[in-house]
Amino acid sequence: MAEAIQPIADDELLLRRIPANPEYFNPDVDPHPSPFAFRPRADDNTGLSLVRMKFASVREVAANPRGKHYYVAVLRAADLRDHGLSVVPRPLPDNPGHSEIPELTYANRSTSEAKEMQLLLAERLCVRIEGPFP
Amino acid sequence: MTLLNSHMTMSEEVRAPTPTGGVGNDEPSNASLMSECEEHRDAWQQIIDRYLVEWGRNPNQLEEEGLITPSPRILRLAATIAMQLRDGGYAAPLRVVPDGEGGIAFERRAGAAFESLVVQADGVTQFDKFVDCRLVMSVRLPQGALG
Repeated sequence: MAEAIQPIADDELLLRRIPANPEYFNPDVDPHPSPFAFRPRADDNTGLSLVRMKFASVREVAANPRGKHYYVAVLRAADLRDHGLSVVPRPLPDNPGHSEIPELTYANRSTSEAKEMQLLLAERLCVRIEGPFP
Repeated sequence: MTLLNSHMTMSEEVRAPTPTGGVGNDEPSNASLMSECEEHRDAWQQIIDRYLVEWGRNPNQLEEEGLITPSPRILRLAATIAMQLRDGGYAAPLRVVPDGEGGIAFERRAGAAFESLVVQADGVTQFDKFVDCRLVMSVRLPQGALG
């Protein structure tokens, strides 16, 4: 029996991993990350990937087998929705907290609207950025 | 640089002014202008040395899951453009990052404006300017227009 997908509440926090090298974020340089930290990648076919904080910790999101350093951006579902961005749960077998912003996909990543969304995420919608980890 | 000048709308206070000499000029003002010019050049040189040249030497630094590393050709092109902007007196970028698709992006903030100059993997340069997160200018410069 398939487990029911829990909808994302407005007060829920979502996480996105940001590489520390290259310096998509460097707090010594600027309090905001580069908008390229929110650019959809080739596998973001249905939306920009985020992870729900109720399913994974910040350290777990940053963890990687290569030992690379990452920051983790924390965003709030309500803030995204207030700015016209949806956030929907898309759980994966190995990532039950996986969710997506469907307005931002790899296919539309270079449109004017998508560029504005990426800048908005970087400049206005990060509640905080934690790290670097490890 | 003419093509870039005609498209990039950096305001006068952003572009480092060329100091002038002569009788009756305000000495301290010229000194501060010279200092500002030097700061811009130094900042650009740091960008070039610390990132573009270093990435060319050690491209494995740019390897990231799901992202395409810039080629040596694009790194050289980006460095050439950076040197042109340095020598043209433009204010240095806030940061330089790979665009994730084989290109290099220079990003800068000036007040409410955010500017992005991307040397794309195909050699085309894309300049975007945003004000309050709204795209107000977008210019695509053909390969060879810069660099």
